[in-house]
Amino acid sequence: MKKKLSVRLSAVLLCLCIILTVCSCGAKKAEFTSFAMGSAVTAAVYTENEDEAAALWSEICTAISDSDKALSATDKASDISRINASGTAVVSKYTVSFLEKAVLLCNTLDRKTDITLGAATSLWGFSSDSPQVPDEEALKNAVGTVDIDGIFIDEANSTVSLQKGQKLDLGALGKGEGCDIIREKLTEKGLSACVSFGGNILVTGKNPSGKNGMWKIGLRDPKKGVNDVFAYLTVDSSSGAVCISTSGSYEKAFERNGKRYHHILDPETGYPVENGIASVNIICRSGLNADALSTALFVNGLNDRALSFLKAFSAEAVFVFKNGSVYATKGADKILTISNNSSYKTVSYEEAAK
Amino acid sequence: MKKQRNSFLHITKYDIIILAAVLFISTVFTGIRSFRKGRLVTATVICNGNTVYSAVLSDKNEETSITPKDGVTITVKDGRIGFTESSCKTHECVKCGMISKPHETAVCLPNKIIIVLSAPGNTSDGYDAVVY
Repeated sequence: MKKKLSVRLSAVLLCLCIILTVCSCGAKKAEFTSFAMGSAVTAAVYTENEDEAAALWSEICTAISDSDKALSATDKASDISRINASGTAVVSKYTVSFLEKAVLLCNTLDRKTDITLGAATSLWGFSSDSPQVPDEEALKNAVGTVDIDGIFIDEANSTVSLQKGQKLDLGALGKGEGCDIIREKLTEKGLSACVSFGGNILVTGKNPSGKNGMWKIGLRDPKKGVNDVFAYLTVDSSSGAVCISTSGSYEKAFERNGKRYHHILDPETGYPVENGIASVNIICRSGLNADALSTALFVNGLNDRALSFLKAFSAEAVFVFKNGSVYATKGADKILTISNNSSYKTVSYEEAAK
Repeated sequence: MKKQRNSFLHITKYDIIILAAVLFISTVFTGIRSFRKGRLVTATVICNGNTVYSAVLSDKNEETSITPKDGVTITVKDGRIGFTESSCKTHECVKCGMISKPHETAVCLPNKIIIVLSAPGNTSDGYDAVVY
């Protein structure tokens, strides 16, 4: 009798132990924050070893800091600042490599995003405390310096030179580059994570907290505040990292004399783009490509050329228009859900592009 | 000759009842734990890389003010948190408003202060991040 009782008790205790073990197993969420490239960076990394994740985050912060030191527009000692100050500078191999990628990107995207727009953007001062509408003549002269072909990269001597009056502005690419640096480090370790780099999102691996391992990424409502969402994307990054980038007219905007000016300038005119688009959201494997595409497609607008850009980069897009229409490319449409109480509605390409 | 039943391994209906009860209690316990975890939103204020404040928002109903830096005030009230005063020129941080959901953040870039909201467990009714 006693033997039977002790066997039963052991079986019950064994079951409890198994259940408790199962409950406590699995990856834990380690959260990190940082500031880099003028942006707040937050990350949720899923790991069974929190110390390893912390060490990896430290490595990531160092890599991003190194990139920032080279490409920063505000640090006077950075490679980009020195090029802008004197028109030519000896720079790091990293800067040479990055600028070569950037020039290629700009040319592939018909120069709808242009890293030589710096003279014009600095007249507007969107990143400063006191942005202003520039003098028309000064802006015209600044736009005259916009020319990707004016950048001369001497790889052998690690030197970059600009044409007279030209200035570099990497604002459309910096956060995307930051996402790619983080993406490489996380992918090497095979970790699942969700990172926000100043609003550019990177997800890798399966989401341990998500339904079917998917990530739920909200799209900001262009008409409302920074935390207001009108739709979301259900993203599967189990077979590879996914980056999502947005360019919107709600960011870095100011009003003067009753008129609103946003920061996405047309490289041909130097004035903010006005084409009825409120935001362009890009979904792509590469952060840099996503960042470049979001700006280029905002400037370009929705047409056949825009679709060809997306195809070239294997990217998907969600265009949000000021009139409340939403156009999602085929791949984006499959993963897009617009909130029930939202006034936004999806439309066909023909309706959106007219 | 009948083989003697091995009473050591013989499972009776009482064993099955006990096992089912243990499994049921464990499942209910795990479910309650998971439900509660998902609703415990923790607010963390980080200033220049240092955590200066951390609290479970649902526990905070009385108004509390935090001054992570001169000229910057963060208020916690009724389960929400946000910048209410800032020394920065554009006040983008104050414009973020009072936040309470795990995907929401409020940032003061010039002062390098960030408010992060997080919740362990499944946030199936929330977002993992918001692109902006």
